[in-house]
Amino acid sequence: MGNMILEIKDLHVSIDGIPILQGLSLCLPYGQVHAIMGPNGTGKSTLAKVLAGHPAYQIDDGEIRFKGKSLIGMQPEERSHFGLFMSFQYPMEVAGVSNEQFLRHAVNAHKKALSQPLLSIESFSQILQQKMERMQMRSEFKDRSVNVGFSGGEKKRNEILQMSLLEPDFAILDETDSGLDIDAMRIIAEGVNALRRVDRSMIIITHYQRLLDYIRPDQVHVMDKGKIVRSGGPELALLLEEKGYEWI
Amino acid sequence: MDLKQQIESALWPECRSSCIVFVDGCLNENFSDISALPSCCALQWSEEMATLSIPPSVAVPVPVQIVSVFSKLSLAVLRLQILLGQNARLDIVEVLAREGISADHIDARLDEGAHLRIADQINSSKKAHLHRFFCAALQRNARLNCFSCSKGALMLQRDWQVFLNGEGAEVDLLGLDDLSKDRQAHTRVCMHHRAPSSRSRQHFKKALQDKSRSNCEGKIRIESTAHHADAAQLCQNLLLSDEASVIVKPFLDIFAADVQAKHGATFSQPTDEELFYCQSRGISMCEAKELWRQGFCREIIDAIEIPAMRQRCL
Repeated sequence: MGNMILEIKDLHVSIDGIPILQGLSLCLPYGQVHAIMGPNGTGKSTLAKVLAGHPAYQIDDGEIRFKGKSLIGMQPEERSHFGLFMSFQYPMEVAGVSNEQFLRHAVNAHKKALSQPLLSIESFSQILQQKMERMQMRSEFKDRSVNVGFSGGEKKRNEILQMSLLEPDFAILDETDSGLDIDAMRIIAEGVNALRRVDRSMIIITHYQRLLDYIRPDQVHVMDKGKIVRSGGPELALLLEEKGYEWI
Repeated sequence: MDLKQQIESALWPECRSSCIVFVDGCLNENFSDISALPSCCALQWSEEMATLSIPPSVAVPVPVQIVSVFSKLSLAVLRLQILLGQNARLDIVEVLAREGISADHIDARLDEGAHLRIADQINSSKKAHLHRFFCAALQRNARLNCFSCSKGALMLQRDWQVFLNGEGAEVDLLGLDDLSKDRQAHTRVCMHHRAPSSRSRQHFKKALQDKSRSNCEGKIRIESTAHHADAAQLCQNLLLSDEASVIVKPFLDIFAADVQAKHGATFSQPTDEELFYCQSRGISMCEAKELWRQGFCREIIDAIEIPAMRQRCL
């Protein structure tokens, strides 16, 4: 298995016959946070969705290994049980289903998959309350329908709350900072940083350097035309901020 | 189970002294008990119809439960008339667990300012044929609130005929059908607005799985005397399989000026993106559709005005 939690080799992905990822390769060690940046339309969100198992995308060639196991052919829920989490750029609304009910369902689905005892309504409620306090989310949000009527910042905070409850080994955060004001971004970043551990890895997809001021990456990759074209340390993000993507 | 056991198992604890019991379609005065109602209220059986009368200004403090049991599988016709005097208030609840063929006819007359809330839950066997016919006439400022939910049957047909005869009369009609396998539930409504400033709202939700079927015909008729009437009808449908089917037919007959009348229908399935969101959280496709169904039904359940029925539907 080595020290890589995620290994992507020469990945080619298309949707409706249109190639999106064209030979992407990436290795992510355990415990590291990598940022992926790049202009619009280069395949960053596609990468996130492919890793999470979105059915609309066709893997034409290449390999994806997560914790030593191939992800290709694995259902999205199986990937989630296996320890993969994706934070959505545009989180979905689930009308009529309370946040608490949805989250309890998700957590217990993981427990069941891992043959662990399920959490009762009362014990889950206590855990949820603690996690919500850490994310500075008001208690009323647990009774509201999932993401219905939430502001952009509240939706993103809800994504990080889900991540904190599901405790994945690897999380990919797709433009977590889009649409957020500075204060909201800081709260989100604090939530993400609180979840960093030596055996948990993350990929942060972002357009802007500012998030990376709060969530310091170990490496930065730049995508263009469906593949990674440049990699470097955190300073790469600063160079991009100064010179733009044309410089690459 | 013998009759007494059937009745005992059907009765809600809070309705033991406020129940109207029918056996094979006939009022059974031995098992019925309205001692919790004010003594001026009356329950009578005449010409094969039970009549419950609530005098003016009487507010019945407890829900009255209709219980209908059968000593044998047969064709049974139940007839109940509800008469509410001026400013009277009454809640009626019913949980139907039928087999065989049955037809229920409920007729309600609401005098000025009277308020009737009626809620039923139909949990019939997949072999049952049921026809439920509800007719109501409302005088000035009277208010009717109806809720009906079902899991369908071999055939379930509900008909509502509501006459808003007095100025300011109001009706809210909520329906929820949660169907699976090859069950059916059909609805036909006719709202007759005959007086000025009358208001009606119809909101139906149908969640259909497998090969279930549902038709929904909703007619709004606004007579020339019903100026400033306000009528709305909405039928929302969630289709959870390719073989489920639903037909919605709205009708508007408008003969007055200065009215508001609207109807709408929606047909939806959870999108791939919505299902993927659930799956990415570890919830299987099957469980995700079930969550969606529950969420879809929740809006109507939350709107049930009678707390005891709302709790039982959750």
